[in-house]
Amino acid sequence: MSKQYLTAHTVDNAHIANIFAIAATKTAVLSASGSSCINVHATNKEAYPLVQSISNAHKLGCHHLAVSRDGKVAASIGFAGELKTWKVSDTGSGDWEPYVEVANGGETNGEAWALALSEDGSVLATTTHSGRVNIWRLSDGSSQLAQQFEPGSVVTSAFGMSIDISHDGKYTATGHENGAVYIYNNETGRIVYQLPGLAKPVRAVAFSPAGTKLAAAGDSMTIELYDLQFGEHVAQFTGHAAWIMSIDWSDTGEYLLSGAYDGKAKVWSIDKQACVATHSETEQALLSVKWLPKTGMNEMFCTAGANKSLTFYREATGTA
Amino acid sequence: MDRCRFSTTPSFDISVSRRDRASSQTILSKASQALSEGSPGESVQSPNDPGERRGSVIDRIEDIVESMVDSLSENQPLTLPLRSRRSGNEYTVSFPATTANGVKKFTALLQILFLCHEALVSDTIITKRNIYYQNPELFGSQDYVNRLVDDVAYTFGVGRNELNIVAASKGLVAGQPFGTEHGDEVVMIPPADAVVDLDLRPIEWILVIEKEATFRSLVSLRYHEISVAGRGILMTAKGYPDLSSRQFIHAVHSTWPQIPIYALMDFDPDGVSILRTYKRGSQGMRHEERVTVPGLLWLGVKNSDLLELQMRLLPTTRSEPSNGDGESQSTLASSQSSRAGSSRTLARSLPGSARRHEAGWKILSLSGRDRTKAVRLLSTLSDQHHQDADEMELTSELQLMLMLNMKFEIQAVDRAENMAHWLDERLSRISGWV
Repeated sequence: MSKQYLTAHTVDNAHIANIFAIAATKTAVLSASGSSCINVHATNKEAYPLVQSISNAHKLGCHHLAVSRDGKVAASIGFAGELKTWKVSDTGSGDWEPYVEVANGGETNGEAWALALSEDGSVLATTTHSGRVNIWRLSDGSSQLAQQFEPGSVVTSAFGMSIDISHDGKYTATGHENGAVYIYNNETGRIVYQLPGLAKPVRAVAFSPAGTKLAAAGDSMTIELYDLQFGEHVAQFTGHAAWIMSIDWSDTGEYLLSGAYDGKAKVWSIDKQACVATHSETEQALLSVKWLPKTGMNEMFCTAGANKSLTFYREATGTA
Repeated sequence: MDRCRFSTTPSFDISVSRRDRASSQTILSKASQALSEGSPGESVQSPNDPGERRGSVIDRIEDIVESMVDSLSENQPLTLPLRSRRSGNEYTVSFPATTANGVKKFTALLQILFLCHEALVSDTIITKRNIYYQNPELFGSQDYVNRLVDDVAYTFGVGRNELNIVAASKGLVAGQPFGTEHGDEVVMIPPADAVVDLDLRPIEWILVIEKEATFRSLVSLRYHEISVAGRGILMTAKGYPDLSSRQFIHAVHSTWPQIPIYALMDFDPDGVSILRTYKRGSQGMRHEERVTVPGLLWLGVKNSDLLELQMRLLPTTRSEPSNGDGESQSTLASSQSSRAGSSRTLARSLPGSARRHEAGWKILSLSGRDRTKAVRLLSTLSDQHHQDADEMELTSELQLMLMLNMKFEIQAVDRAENMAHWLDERLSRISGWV
């Protein structure tokens, strides 16, 4: 049994460079690329028009971008290592504008790499090259470095390539270049689980919406599923033939979306523990894939990467 | 009488006066710039002498030139100090001189000082051979240059290397026009001036290779003879290219513009930086002419090769022959002309194993230094007011490199066949046979 998704629309050349990250709100997809701007495409209008382009957001390009679940706060990290935050304007225009400054400089915090935002955008978590986690509290007018987590000794720490915050904000998960996956308790700063790793770089980690599972994927070309009640490895999804660059849970937690370096996107059913759809719109690398928050009848997702375009898929009515 | 003798080197007559006029202003400002910025950094090779001593040599050359400018304006004879290596005493070489040899010595010395100054200010290396070829008529012999260079070094109380002058080009070249009568396959890169005498008509491609080890394994495989792309020339400048290697490639390209020149670099920040040095020159050398090859084609290794490699390294037993190896091999075979017979045999003799490229490539994580360097290169590239397609490609590759946190090195291969096979694929793809 498979599910069918149709290409709803493609925004060709949404950027002039590789798109490294996308993030979705109920009404828009934000995208960041090797160029200096962050673009906003409306998803509630026909043909997904560009509604805002934040120019000079990151001079050397931007590699990570996240938006809070409530769609009000965004954060981005550029290739020069600079961390920026954004919020939806209070004027009601729907435009994004600069939010609080995050003092990310200096040796103590390390260069930020991946990032995640809590549901309401009040907590920002970043990984560093050295494998540390920085937890920032954001509020109007200020940001504060609330906590720093270390995975262990300096010797064992490895580049923090991916990060996620659980929907309830209690936990942070990180995926590392050496294959390690850690889950921290945000209150205590302690490691809750050190999950059996993938042995290869972990380029994506994601908490299920209910917070009961964690998915991790990367250069092993597999998606590993962990139950968080006891920290057990419960499933492995195989089928990708290239490094997995990005994963995302659907709103209901029924499906996982994954995008790989060979341009293939796959949808996996958690129940069936199987791939239910494969799409290869492009042979160029997919670098970011995201479900759109469900607003209508049909599920939708968006993929982006080295073909510089945004491709939107819609679930076909009825299943084959 | 002296004037008459001097006119035997008319070209230099002009350059003396021009350079002198230019000296007090531009050369000084260049020098002070170079000093205040320190070494222009990655894209040049400089000897490990302290910048201070380099600076002092620059200062002394400029003092000499300035005093000559003064002499000119005061209608006084021009003088250059020189210390005899035999007696250790300093004497002056002046112009006008009473003998033809005196005039020659003055002119030659001034030219050496000028070239040395250029090399120091731009932090690049020049060879003694290169100096000789600047004006063979003037110098008469290589030996004459060598002696004067050593005299200059002695006069300044520094080693010859501290003048940024080395014995010979560090570059190597192999290919049909370059063999010696002793049967040596690999020779030193000849001076750029010698290019006009080369007959490159049978040559269909030139490959500039970053690493000497890769170069040597391809030479031992006779890739320049057996390539599917026809007869070619292999060359390397062993990492960051020296001035004479770059002048040579430039000369080849301008004399034989129809021959494509490809670059084979590592997929790492140094590889990208070296490529850029060939194409655009190095930071400190913007004033140099006839040293760049903007048309240099980047053959690899690029991010797209990573994917291909990854497909081949799949641990699974792939049955579909239409993916990966099968396809490329069959298209290759069908595209081959008769002269490529040997390489077809070569390709066939390789097992279709997924692991076969492993011997030739190595994937590593970027080090902290690599990342810093990549970001610095990105920054340099973004400062260009208008990026052309080349620069956009470099930017894109560097960003993906950072994103993946991977570099991809071409190993000193025992199994150069892999490399040859890969090159065959690439070259035939580019030349439109596939």
